[in-house]
Amino acid sequence: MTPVIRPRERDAILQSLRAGVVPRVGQHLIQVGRAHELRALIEDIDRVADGGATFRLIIGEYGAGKTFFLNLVRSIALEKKLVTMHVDLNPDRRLHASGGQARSLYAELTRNMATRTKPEGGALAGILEKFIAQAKTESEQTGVSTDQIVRQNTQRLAEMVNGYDFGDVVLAYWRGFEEDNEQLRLDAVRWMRGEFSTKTDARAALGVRTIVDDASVYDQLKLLARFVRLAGYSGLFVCLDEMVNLYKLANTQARMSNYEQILRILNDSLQGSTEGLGFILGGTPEFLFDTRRGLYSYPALQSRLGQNTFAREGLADYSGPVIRLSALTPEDFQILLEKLRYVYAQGDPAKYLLPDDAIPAFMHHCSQRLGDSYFRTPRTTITSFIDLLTILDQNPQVQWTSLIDELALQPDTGGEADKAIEPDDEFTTFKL
Amino acid sequence: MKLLKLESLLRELGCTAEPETARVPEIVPNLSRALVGFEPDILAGARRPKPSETIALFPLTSDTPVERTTAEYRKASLMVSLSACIALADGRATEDEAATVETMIASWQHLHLDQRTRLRAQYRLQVLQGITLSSLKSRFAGLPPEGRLQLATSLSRLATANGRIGATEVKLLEQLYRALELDPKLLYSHLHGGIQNANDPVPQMHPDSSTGPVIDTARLAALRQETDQVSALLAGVFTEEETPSPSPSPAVLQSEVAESAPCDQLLPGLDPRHCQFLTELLSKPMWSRAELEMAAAKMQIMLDGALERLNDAAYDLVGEPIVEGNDPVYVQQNILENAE
Repeated sequence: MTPVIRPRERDAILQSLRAGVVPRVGQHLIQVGRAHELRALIEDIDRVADGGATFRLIIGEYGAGKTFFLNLVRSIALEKKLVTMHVDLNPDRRLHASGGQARSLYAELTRNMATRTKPEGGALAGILEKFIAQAKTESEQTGVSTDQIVRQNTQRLAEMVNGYDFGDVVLAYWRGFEEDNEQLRLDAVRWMRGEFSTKTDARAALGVRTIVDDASVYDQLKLLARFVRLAGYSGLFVCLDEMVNLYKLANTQARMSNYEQILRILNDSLQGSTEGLGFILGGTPEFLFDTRRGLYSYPALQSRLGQNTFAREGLADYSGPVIRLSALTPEDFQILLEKLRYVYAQGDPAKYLLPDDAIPAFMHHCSQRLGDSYFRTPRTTITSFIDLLTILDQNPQVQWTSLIDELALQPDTGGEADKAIEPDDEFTTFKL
Repeated sequence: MKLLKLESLLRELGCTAEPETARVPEIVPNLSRALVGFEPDILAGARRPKPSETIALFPLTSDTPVERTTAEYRKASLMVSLSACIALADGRATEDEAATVETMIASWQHLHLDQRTRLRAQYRLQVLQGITLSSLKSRFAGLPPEGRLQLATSLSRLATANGRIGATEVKLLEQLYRALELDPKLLYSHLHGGIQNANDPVPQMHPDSSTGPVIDTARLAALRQETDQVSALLAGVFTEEETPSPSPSPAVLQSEVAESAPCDQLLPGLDPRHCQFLTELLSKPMWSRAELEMAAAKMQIMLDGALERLNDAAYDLVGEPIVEGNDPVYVQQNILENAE
């Protein structure tokens, strides 16, 4: 199989990797192995597209490629006409909070809402307008007013938390368009993005009684999942990365509340009580296993996550909620470098800037400088390899043999940040 | 190997008078001379069992007692006791865990055969009678750092042997790692690594040697094959097999598209209003957002929804969007021509 490499994808891959970040498009061109894991996730996406619900935890150590894997899965979901939302958790973005952090997570998720045609995010307005345009077309065909059809279609959301107001907000957006009231449209989008912080403001702007607050984030995602299906998409796929940030919360109650949300999502997906909604969460082994701070510290999650059988007599089971990503091996790394060479040459072996011999030579150089971290945490070594290709591309007279030994390699120490625990500021403002 | 109550053994040997257990230290060497081993190892300092407690009898190959106070044997014995602890942590020791311990003992070829058999008996007895971590703590003291790490790694691998990792096992391992003065964070890596497929290799690296990284050619070949499967799988999703044809110059296309090609031939499934908008859109390679908003308003359509719809239809047809960017908006005027 020789994939066609689109210039857009090639440039995105090379620019991202050179900057030391995971590419957002074209990941499929450089994916090495992980056939079982990908099959499992593709099945998940198909299940969501069929109206089902899924939940997966992607567990891997720093450098194992969790973010890359999540982005690849997200791209697949987009190709399969799902709407995706993604966010990196951080201290100000959590699943549960009382100080606006959960709403902040939701706001970021909606900002990053993507469709196949808008993979970079910002697709909410397009989805909303597509839904209304369908109603408008129906209105033209049936003679019933667009208002009525929008109201009729959003009735299917009314039974859900915030569902009635959601319908009103969609209608407000349509009225804003009809009446050329830009402010009304903006307010409608603001409500959907969870940007109203008080009910009074929301009522004054849109006449609705509720807002998206910390307590309703997950319910709002369920609502959006049903809405995108009404708008003609296959479902909603939510990617939450850097889950280790929940593990790092010093306050036990805050951690437990967040884990309770995870349990709620997991239970809903296992019981099939949500519709067209998939979750994929990326975290480190300590986030899962630590019995004091990790998911294993929450008794109800212990039993559900512990039952996942990973490997038995050499066979792996990918049906459980946990998918384990093993660290890269030298063999993975070699194939990855070959793929990067292929992408750089736009899929034309005649344009290869390095011969086959150069790849083991590059690995040898990395191994001597960095030990086995060159393939276990390969961020910096991949960047160096792209740098090498770029120099050879721009200076055809230079021999690769003379360059490899001079390549500077920095160890990747980003994993240290994952281990830092936040200070508990619970009582810093405590006064008697 | 046979497990039985001590009182049964004593009865078999004809000891009926009280207190019979006092005669155990006499019986054990006699059994040994008859090539029968006795566990618990009271000759090496273990507590003398009560009549109601279970003991293990096992065959010996030599009537000369093998030294059981060496550092190697003591470490192996500790390892077996800890394995029994871990195996019992989730309530019961499974067959998988027993098999893992058996493999581990079998691999200790530096120990005498009789020592290995005794260790098997020790494991069976301990999982039957139960054992706690606290009863073993004093035995950690003499272990060197590398010995502790080796012990910890083996035990975390044992915990994953039955294919599931229970929270009770993890808790016990956390205590063990602390008792061994190892960072518990290392445990999570070990647990994660311990559940690798049996086929997964342990990378062989020699960072300081001149030989460089060792590549397992068999694994490399298997990985290539798997990667090909992945490429095929993803090709089905990302439609990689399309072959772009050489396109005429944009200027020529622009006039052709705008003037001659009927819209529904360019992008099937659009309503007249969106067709009209597409035709307008294709008349320029680049639009400012304000210009496009005006054009959309003139046709009474919502801009973002319309762009979403056109791009969606273009993706279905050619696998590429027709417009890109937010402000300015770039129009790929030639992609629909390529599709024909």
